[in-house]
Amino acid sequence: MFKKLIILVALAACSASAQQPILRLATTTSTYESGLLDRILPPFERSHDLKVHVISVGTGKAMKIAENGDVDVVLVHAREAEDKFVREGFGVNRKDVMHNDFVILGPKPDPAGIAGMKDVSHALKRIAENKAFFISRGDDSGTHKKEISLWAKAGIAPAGDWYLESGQGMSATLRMADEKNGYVLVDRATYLSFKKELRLQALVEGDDLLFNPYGIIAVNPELHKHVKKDLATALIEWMTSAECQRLIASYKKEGVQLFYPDIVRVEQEQ
Amino acid sequence: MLYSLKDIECRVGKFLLTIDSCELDQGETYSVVGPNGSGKSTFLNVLAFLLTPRSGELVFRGDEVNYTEDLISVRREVGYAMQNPYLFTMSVEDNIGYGLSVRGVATREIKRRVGEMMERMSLSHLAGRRHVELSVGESQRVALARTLVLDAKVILLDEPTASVDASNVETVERTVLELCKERSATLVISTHLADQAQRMSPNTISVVDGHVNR
Amino acid sequence: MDYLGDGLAGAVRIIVSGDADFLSIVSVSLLVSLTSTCLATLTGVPLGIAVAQHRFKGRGFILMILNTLMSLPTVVVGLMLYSFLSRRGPLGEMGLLYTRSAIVIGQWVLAFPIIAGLTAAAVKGLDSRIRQTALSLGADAHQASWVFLREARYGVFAAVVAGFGRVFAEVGVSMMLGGNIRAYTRTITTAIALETSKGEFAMGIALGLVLLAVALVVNIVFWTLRGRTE
Repeated sequence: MFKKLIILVALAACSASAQQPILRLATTTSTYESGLLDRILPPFERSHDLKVHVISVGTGKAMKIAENGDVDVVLVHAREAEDKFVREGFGVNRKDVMHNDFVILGPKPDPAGIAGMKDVSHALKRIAENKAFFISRGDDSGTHKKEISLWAKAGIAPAGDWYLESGQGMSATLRMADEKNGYVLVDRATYLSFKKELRLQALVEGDDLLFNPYGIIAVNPELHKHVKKDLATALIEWMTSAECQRLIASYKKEGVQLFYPDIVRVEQEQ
Repeated sequence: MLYSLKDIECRVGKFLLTIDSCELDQGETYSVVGPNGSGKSTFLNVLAFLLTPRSGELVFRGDEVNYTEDLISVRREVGYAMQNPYLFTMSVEDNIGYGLSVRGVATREIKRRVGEMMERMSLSHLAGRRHVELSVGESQRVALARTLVLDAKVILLDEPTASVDASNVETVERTVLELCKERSATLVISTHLADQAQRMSPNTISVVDGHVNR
Repeated sequence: MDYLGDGLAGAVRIIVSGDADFLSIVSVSLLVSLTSTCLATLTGVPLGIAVAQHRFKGRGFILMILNTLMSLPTVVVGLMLYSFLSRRGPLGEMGLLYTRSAIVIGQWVLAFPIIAGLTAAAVKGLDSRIRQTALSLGADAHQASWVFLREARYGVFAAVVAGFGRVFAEVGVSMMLGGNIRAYTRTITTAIALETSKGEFAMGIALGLVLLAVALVVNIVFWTLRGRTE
């Protein structure tokens, strides 16, 4: 009875939509909110006559959704978690797509005095010692995973009144840090996208530890029979194609490049 | 003979109404008298075919009423104005026309007859009003008009002037009697007022403690 | 002050120019909310009437459940349905998560108890003489039921409006089950959540104005109808 009703409801709601094939991509907020996907997905949608439904969440959530088989493919940034995801058989065909880096932003008065530091661990220690506000994503996103690993490397277990977990997306967390005059770890793409609206400034950047690679992974069709394996493969091929990689390289905000393609760079270096 | 009731027992909740024997003739008028709570309304509900007796026999126009069947056709021969009437959330005219419209009478005909009846009952000034704008007395007169407009051969009125202003009681009584005479209709009117019973009919049926005596 | 002023001015521009994203969001919202409200009406009104009019075993239990569900936070409904609709869940093979249907189902779960519960309350509050009066005036059983429903109409309509109001303004179910996919499952409320976090206040305000306007229109329609026919 319940099931019949659900089918009825489903039919009622579906009847209106045109029947183009749909590929579901779960991705991190940074690729979506920066506007990059709006640049690189439409050509793919046109050439394959399909619709990509983008579900923009944190990396952790994206991989969880993929684990459950509720999407076909994920684009995320958390290398260790990605490897584990593939190792445990949830994903296949993982490919590097692009990278950029993380930046630590802080208020102009810089109460912890970290401006210009090259060593992230050192900078984090100073923030903790000074008990300056630090706003963490706290949402198991790629940025959050990165932040936790940075604290671990610095040998600090962040806790206390000064350490705030927003539990929200990158842009909301940036906004919170801006309002509270706190420090925050952010991927460069999101930072540049919102730079104009922020009073916060980039204080620490350039450390190798701040490297931020993005990877794309297809959901394992062995595990979830319904996933659109061919379309997912096509998307992965597109993302790693020279054409798409050039689009990524050319995507700029305020004249600054947000993401650096992995494949094109390799080609250039060879 | 219009009604013939024999050995009827009718139960409403804990209340029990019994009728040993009672006959009503076509074209006559009857007053049902008795104190409040004695069972007058229950008796009228039986006559209106709205209650099903537990036992006994009710003959209407020579046919025994079969309560297992749909009684809509006999119910429609009766015009019944219940005590403490309910007016629907409609205009006064639509309320008065309701019984005609469920009988499938044409809209134009309904309008004509409703207008006529409102005039006779001195209700014309209420045209276009909504039921919530009426006083209790006006409501009762509208409910009465709603029943009288039906042109039924049997008219059952339960305490029809209980909330009507003293100044209007006479008009109501006169109109009811006139109408019954014109249509040679049978009138059964319940009242707790002895003088009203006298004015309306020499035939009295008394109801005492749930027992009907003709 | 400029901050707010700019947002408002931008919002007006978006509405006046008929921005494509804006229109798509509003139409998705209306589509899913109206669909779910219709379904909840078709199911909730009969249940409400049945519960109010008939005494049967389990009636008190149903009323209790309805009242509990009425105040259920939308995110709880979202979470429960998420676990049902996910591929890992019992209804997973239908692939409904992150579709409009999923939102409609979730919103149906939200609106149904409200519509059923308020209908039950409205019908119970009706005068017990209605049916008897209709019968005494020569109505048959169907006509009596019809006039009974007619007397209940404001209560039922108010129940439907309340149900629509809840689903149109809810964000939990739409976000969790719909996934906020652009031009597909992005509703007014999920878009506002997104736009605010992105700092796009103009779009957020424009959509907020639509929410406000719809609430106003619904109320005006309701009171006008009520005033005309009471």
